[in-house]
Amino acid sequence: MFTLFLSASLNTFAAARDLSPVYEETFDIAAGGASLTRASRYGAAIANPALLPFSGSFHRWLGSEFSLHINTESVAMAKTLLPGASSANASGSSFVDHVFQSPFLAGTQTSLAYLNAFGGIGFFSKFEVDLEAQEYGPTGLPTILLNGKSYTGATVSAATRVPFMPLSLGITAKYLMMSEPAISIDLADPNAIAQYQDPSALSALVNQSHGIGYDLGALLFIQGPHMDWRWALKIDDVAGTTISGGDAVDDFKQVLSTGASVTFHTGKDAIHIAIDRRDLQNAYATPAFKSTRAGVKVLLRGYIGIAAGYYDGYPSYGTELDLIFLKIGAASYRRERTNSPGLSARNVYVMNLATGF
Amino acid sequence: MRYVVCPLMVAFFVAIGSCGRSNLGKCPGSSPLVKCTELTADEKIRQALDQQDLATAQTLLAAAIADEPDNYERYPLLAAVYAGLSGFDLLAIASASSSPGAGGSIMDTMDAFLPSPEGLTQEEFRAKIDLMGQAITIIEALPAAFRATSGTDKFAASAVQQLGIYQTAQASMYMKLFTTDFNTGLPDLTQAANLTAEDAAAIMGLLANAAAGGGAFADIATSTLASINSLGGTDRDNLANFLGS
Repeated sequence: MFTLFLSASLNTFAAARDLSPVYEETFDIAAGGASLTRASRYGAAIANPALLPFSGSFHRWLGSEFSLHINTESVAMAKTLLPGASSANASGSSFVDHVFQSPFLAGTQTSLAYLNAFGGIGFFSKFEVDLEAQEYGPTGLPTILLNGKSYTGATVSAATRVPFMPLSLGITAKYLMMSEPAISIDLADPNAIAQYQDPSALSALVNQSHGIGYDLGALLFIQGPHMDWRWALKIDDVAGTTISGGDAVDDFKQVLSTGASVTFHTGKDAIHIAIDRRDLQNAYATPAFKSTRAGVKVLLRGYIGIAAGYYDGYPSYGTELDLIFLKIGAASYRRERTNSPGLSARNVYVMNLATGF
Repeated sequence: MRYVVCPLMVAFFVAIGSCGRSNLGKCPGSSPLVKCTELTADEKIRQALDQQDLATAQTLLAAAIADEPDNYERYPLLAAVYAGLSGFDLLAIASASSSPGAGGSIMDTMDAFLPSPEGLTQEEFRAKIDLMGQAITIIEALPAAFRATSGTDKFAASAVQQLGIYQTAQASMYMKLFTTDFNTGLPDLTQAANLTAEDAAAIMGLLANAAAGGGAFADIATSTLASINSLGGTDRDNLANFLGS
């Protein structure tokens, strides 16, 4: 028997930074990610803290959330990874076979936050793993490409309305612990790949880096009896956020973004049409299809939400049911992993459960 | 108000639903709001490789290497494409690396990866051997630092692996020429008598290089050479006896 030695061809490197937010609400994703002028729950503190004063009441959100992201091709495979699933189907070779057929993406996101009209505090965690097999990998040999994202952080937000003006300003300070392992393995080794099915194995693969940064936001809000106009300006990572310690992870660059929206509303129904343009100064050389986010949110009777939009240039859609203390959401979207449309897209389902009020 | 909101809502959802799965950023552009994004040369190559369109990948890679001969990351890709065009099953390597009992003679081992001569003329099979030779030539065109297990380039060790694999594969394909009756497409060990000294030298040279290179198939190349040389005659006679046995 011959042995293909893997150790010489296993490369670990830092993934290139892009505009992907460290935390994003499911309903906002469904609406194309156009969240600068309207964002859900804790997502408001991340998307644009200047949104906080315009919630209509002092209290905005107290609660926790959990969401699960999985690509559509891997739903069946993911079931075999659940506790109690058949061990035969969950074997390493079966998993590798699946990855050679279609990519595997799975991730979770959790948060616990309290927000009011003047600010708030929140904690979040996001983990995601993406596995792709290429018969003709970067080295010419069959390759498994593993990209992971692990973000854990805390935010403190403050916001205020500018007196006598339809304008609000906000700031969110954030502490991040993160790792973004990107690994390529020549010639699949089922045993090696199988270990990456366990999220904790990936977390242990690289040391966490950390950094402190600030986001600033402004919102111009012109309100009418049936129609509102909003215009937002946001600076992510003011002066850049330096990430240090642990394994090499790129710093966050300062990004300037703007968004505009119009909302038609009655007492209990509303339709919010929004468009965002991220990275105006092109800090990340982001192509237009990724920096443009557009969508619509339709809110019916205050407890049903339907959203659709364009996320990374692909149609997205989703819904949310608001049962006062329990919010259940689902969304479907496509994410483009590269800066090239259609080169490496993932079809993702998101399920979301939030408890709070 | 609802007379305004409802048509807007319906129009938007219909628009979203009718756009299918295509990306707004694809060229030619489909949206006045989103400028389309052209794929770079390397992205077009990656797309062709992922779609298993090896002919297109070969054309694009050859052009890209001609444009930028110092971009050595493309060389192993072009070599892999030549190997793929020769019928070499790269993906089988991945499963073979974990399947016990994959040992045996060099041809038994390589049969899992190599094209069968069945249904091919001798000329067609020789063309496939030549394509594998192209793969070897491309890897050998890399500077030494880009194909060395101790090289600083991140792809250097993989290039060594590839070179050994392709040398062993071409040697095994050569051997098939003299163990197959191309009139019937069936194995025929008497064909070994047609082996020329020139063919024998080529096969022995490939095995020697694969053994010395230290790649994935170095062990099997070494043991095959030892078996051939143990017969004690000329390379041609030893190899003919080895193939005919």
